[in-house]
Amino acid sequence: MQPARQSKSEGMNEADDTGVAPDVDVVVIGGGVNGTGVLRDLTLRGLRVSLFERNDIAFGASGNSSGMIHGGARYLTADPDVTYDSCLDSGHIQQIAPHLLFRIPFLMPIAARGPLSGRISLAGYDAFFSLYDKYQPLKRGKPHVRLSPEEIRSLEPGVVGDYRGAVTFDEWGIDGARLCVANCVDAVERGSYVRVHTTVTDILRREDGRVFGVRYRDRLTGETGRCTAKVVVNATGAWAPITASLGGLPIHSARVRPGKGIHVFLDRRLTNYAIIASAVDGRQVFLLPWQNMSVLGTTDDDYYGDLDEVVATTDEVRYLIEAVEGVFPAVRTARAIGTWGGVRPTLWGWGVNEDELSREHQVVDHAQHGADGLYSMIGGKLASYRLFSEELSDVVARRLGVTSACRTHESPLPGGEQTVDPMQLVIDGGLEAVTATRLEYRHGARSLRVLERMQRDPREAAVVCPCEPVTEAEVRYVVEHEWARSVEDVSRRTRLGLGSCGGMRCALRCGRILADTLGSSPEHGMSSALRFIDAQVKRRVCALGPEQARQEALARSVLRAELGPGYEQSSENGRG
Amino acid sequence: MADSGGPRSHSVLVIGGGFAGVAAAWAARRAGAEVELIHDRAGSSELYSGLADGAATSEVRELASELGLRCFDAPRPVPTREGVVRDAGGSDRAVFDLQSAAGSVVRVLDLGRDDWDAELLAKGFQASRWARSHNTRFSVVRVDILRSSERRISGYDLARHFDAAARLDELVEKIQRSSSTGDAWLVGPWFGLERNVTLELTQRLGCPVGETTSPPGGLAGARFELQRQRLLEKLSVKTTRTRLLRLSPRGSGGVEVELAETGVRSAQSVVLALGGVAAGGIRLSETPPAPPQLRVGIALDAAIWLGSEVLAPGSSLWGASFQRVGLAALDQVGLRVDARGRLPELPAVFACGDLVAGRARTVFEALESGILAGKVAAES
Repeated sequence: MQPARQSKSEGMNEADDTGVAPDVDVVVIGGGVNGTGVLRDLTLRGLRVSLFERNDIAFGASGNSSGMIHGGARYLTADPDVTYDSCLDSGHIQQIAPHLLFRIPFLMPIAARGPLSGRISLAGYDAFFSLYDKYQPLKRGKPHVRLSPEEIRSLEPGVVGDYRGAVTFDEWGIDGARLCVANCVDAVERGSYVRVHTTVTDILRREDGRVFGVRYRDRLTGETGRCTAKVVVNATGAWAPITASLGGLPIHSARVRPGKGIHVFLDRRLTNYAIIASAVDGRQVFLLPWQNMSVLGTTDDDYYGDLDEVVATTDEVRYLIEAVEGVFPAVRTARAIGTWGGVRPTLWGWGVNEDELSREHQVVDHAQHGADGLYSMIGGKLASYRLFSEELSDVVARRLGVTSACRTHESPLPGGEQTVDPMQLVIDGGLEAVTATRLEYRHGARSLRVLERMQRDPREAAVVCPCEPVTEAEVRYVVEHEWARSVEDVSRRTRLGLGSCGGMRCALRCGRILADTLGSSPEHGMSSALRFIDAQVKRRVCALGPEQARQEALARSVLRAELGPGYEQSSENGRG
Repeated sequence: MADSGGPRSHSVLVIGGGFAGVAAAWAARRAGAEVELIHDRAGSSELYSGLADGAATSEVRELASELGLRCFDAPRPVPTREGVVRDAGGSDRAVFDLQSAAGSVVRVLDLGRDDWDAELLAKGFQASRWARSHNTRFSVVRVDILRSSERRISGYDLARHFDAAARLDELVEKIQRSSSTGDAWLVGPWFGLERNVTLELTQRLGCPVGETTSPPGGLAGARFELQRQRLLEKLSVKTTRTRLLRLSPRGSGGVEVELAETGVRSAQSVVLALGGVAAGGIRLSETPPAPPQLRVGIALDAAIWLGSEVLAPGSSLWGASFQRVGLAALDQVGLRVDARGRLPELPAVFACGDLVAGRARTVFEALESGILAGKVAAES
């Protein structure tokens, strides 16, 4: 903590000509993976940081991505250094948060006929992934394997088609929301601040244009305030141009080309391997076993809509289903239980297709636009969040005269300090094996703290959401320690209500627990639950198959029975 | 209703055994027809909460009481398992009629079950408009009576344990010893499948005892299944558990029906009571519809088709998208029938209950439309 004090005294005269010390060293706007990454990095360097998030942590692209920390195989031929850095950093993230990563082996079938078969042969892919194998040890990845058509069928019997063979390669999956939350928890435990559902309404500038803080408004309570700082970081992803405009800057000063990507999730893991397929336009899409479900992804389309209301559409869902069913027909009749819609903050470019846009990132110093002290983080992807955060933090640290080096690649994230065997939670805590495994995945070593709650009050061991499963203790824990302020926030942190029943069995109960933990009224808990249910329905209707349509009808009739026939109106009223 | 041509009475085949199907069988039997009821998996009736909305006609009341339901003259306040007090037009026999406890102290029984957060439920009831305007208080009393294995079993399974006299005696004794002086006891959907345990508790404790609503697959649905079985036996309606595969009108009149495993049946009329999309029984073909070769869909008025091989709900994956029509369409989908429950395209085939498009999805509505369809089917 020593450097914090140093930089503070040093910065006082530099950043504030009124002689009053700013509230914090740095304000970060945006609670996605880059914002929370910078929050943690600067905090570890001894700075005091305040983060403001307009919606919830991981609300945007970070919580709606494909959920992978990949090794950057696509850059292998053009720029092998990028692949090297990506693999190295994937290894770092595994070290700091071993509980959050899970292995996803990929299987890429190579068609015997068809438009793509001639372009790159099986041997070509074999050679390509032999090259990638050199980098795999950096992230504990297994070397690729070349499979015969018979081997494809024995490994994944649901795969159909005429193939010359296949290649496998190894990547790592992650829950993006858990990653963002872990970064916040660490930073706050070290003296920084996080405010969710709090939008920045102005970026404050002096007469000479220099930036000295932000004005904010809590979107749930209406409370407003001001937070002064020496540096303001705009880490708002696709919202970046809007955020820059809050400081009076033209939107082209922080320009992105928003690219919408959707995912469809299906009940349970349908495969052991992630399977790659080709869409009608030749793009590669995949079916991914991810946590306890299967994910179809993804699309990439220019987006012009409201960033706070990104929802997948039926035609996007059909595009993905059509692409994957050619390889794995069961996706057509599988039970779709939800969708994600996210918007990538892709680097801006004119006149190229979405897929050809750069996935790189850049730091914009707005001194060039007359707003000294404001930086924007543009572009990037989940897998490179730590590197990008380090780059930006280096710039800020240099400016503030902080010499301590980045530690985010070696200092464990909360939960990653120590390994906990889920079976120990079963033996010591009497949890069921699935409950224990899922709890340990989300919280790592911190799962022991949730367990302690249950041991203090056995009533908290009750399972609230049986699909995931989530206990009452975990709901209360994420409300008290991870800034969850609504049922939807709880769901983002615990995956409560995202199973096949769509929250029918747990959302209202979660609302009661939320209200009780926050000390608010039962009505508040109920309206929060109904808003969650409404929002989830909007995310599901575009993907309803016959099975899930029946489930939806049942869920509606259950809600009507529990709340009375007028519940639809009451949920609308709860909005006010 | 003797047929002039011989002793053989009119035959009616009822497909579906939920509230609507049972009502059709009951009404057709009363009209003198020979009735067979075909049903397969559980639908929304077996999953119902224990509440009925709306008002009941006198015929509905008569049938409802045979099925173990109460009908109220005017809507009454009832507690749900989500901590809400709402009005209902009727209910399962055990659901608490809160009007009987207005102005008193209601003890919420906590047995330490996983599916029952007594403290928060009591808070919810306490915060309800009804409790505040009727000056009624809710508080929790913990009574330890469950075996450890009973904490997580379904309410339906637990209810059967309390059909045993010894367990019931133990419960009464523990409640009396809990030395709480409540005016009423509110319990979860846990007590008595065969026996009317809440009524016995009311008598033995000397104050009203009632349950909240049941979760899907809970006690209220189980009680319905038991009462249905008893009623159908009493009516001597033959029941067969299987699935409907195909239905076709015969040239000579009547309908031929192909059933899974049990072969072909024919009847003079058929009542379809297959339920809505929630029932899980609306597939007439073993194979799902083939995905269309065209990628584009077309808008449809009703998302269920009859007459082709397949009777399946519409879907966002092909055909009409629910994103466009809205999820409220789930309440609207179904078959279009005339005022007598008849399908215009298929003479001698009738539809009732949730299968009928654009009707309220309620227990009373299912019973009423089932009675109508059963009656008309027996006479046509």
